[in-house]
Amino acid sequence: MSIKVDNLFYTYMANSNQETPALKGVSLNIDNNSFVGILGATGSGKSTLIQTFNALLLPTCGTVTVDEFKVSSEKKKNKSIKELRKHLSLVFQFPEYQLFEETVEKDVAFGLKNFGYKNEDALKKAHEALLQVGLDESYFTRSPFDLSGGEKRRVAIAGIIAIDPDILVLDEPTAGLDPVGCQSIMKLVKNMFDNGKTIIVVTHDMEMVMEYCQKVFVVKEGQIIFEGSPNALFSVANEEDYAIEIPPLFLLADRLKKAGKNIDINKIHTSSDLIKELKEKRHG
Amino acid sequence: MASVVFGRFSPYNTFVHRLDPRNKIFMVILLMVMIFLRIGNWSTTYILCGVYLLFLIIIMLIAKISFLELFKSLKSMWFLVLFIFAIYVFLPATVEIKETGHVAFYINTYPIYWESFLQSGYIIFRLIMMIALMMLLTSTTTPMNLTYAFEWYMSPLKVIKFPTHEIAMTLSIALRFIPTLLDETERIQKAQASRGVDFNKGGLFKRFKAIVSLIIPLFISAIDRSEQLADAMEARGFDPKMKRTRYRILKFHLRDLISLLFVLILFAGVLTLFIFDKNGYPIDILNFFFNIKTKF
Ligand SMILES: Nc1ncnc2c1ncn2[C@@H]1O[C@H](COP(=O)(O)OP(=O)(O)OP(=O)(O)O)[C@@H](O)[C@H]1O
Ligand SMILES: [Mg+2]
Repeated sequence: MSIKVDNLFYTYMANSNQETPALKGVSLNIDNNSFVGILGATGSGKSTLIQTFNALLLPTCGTVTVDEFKVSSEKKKNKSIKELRKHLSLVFQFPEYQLFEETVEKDVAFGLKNFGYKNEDALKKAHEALLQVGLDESYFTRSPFDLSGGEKRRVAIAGIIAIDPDILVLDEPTAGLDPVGCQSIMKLVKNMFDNGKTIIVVTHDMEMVMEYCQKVFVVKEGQIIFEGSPNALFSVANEEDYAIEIPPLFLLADRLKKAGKNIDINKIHTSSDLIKELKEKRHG
Repeated sequence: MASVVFGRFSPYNTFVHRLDPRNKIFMVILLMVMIFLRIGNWSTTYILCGVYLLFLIIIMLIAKISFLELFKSLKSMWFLVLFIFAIYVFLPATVEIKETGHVAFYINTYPIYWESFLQSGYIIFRLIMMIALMMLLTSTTTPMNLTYAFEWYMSPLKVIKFPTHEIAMTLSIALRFIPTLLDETERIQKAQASRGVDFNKGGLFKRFKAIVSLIIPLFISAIDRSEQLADAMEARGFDPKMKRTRYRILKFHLRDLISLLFVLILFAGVLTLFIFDKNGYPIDILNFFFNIKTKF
């Protein structure tokens, strides 16, 4: 499924003396089965933007089109919102705060049951999702409140991926996790991408962006100020005020290239890519 | 959501905002009492209501309170207003109205009196004024200052070992957390909506489940937060028994004196009229000033 955002405006507390315009004319396209990053400083409007994708926030003006679903400012026109939410799921920042059931498996199955699955089917799918996020049978019947922060987050994410949406939107999925936890969650997301899903992540982790994202959008004060591949962004980030920290790997590759090494910067996403590139060019 | 009666603080710095909160609370109470004193015949009462309304509008203009905001908080009251209206107009009239009232029309043979309309209008007016005054107070005074003022008013109770300070502290923490909890509610609501919860549709059981999915995380985060806050306060050496100094000290300025005098004079005037009225000197403004005699 693809997303098309057309001239989108969103204002918090509209028509009061504390009006806060958060989005000011955003237009963008996200293709089917792409891995997209949304970047920008805090308060730039990233979370606001993604919440319009599944109609949690209705735009003040403009439209969001997700395949046949359309989200616009008029409440009445937004039919089948629930259907849309089945296809496009959003994992909030710190999703561990949305757990509430007595057991892990019940909590994961909760979303499925809302979308019309029978109890047994829901539990079966919940178990699959839990195994996918790396939580084995011993966790199924434990209380979600006795888990560690990282485990809770995995349960919450399992609750979303169990629904099996076509588009998965994650708001800072790795914030506050240890490196191993980050890695495992990103592997999981990558796996879903490889299975044909469309992935959208909001993040401040540029190394992750460099490794996984095909395309990034930079938001600043409610507007898109950059659109392109991560490495294209990093090569211009120095000159522009994007509030972005260039990852060391990119800096290294860039230095090497400037020092005369014949490497294709656009091919480098991880350190092993760089090594491979260096080796090939030496022999080639 | 929260701004039903208690308006949100509006961050301006007008004359009304700068008044001492203790003074503001006192003046609001005086004004409320004034509004509840019914004086003279109906025409007089309604003229006085007009004067109060004008006074309120002027203060609201000075304080830069948007009338839209007031209407918004009144909008949720329309049912109550309708209810009051229906009760007063259609239920059998009081003995007083039956004896001295004027019949507007009959439903079959059941009389409906003009006075019932006037009575319900007056009650609704008082209700609206109460809400407007409360909104005026809360949207021009920070919650912090309000609790300081409450604490000051409770301070005489200290002699009987009443824990005024602890109560004020609890109150200010509670007030402080209202917006946080509202934000949290909205966040959790959205997160559950992403999991297919529909808060506005579905049968009884579904709704119940939807509310549970909201309340439990909310409680957990509230308990988490209070634990953290308690730790943070302890880490900074907070001791409820100790005498504390204040960063912000409430001061009674000249502007407070002027406004208080003004309201007191107004109050004294209204009270005098009221006493005269009740002691056999009925007040009739229209007759007195313009020589107009009305039925009401
Ligand atoms: N519930 C709200 N009410 C009022 N204003 C809000 C609300 N949520 C966000 N805003 C404002 O909208 C703007 C955009 O906020 P948003 O949460 O989209 O930023 P963000 O890019 O996600 O930031 P972060 O990286 O910190 O998550 C900010 O200026 C913020 O103050
Ligand atoms: Mg955000």
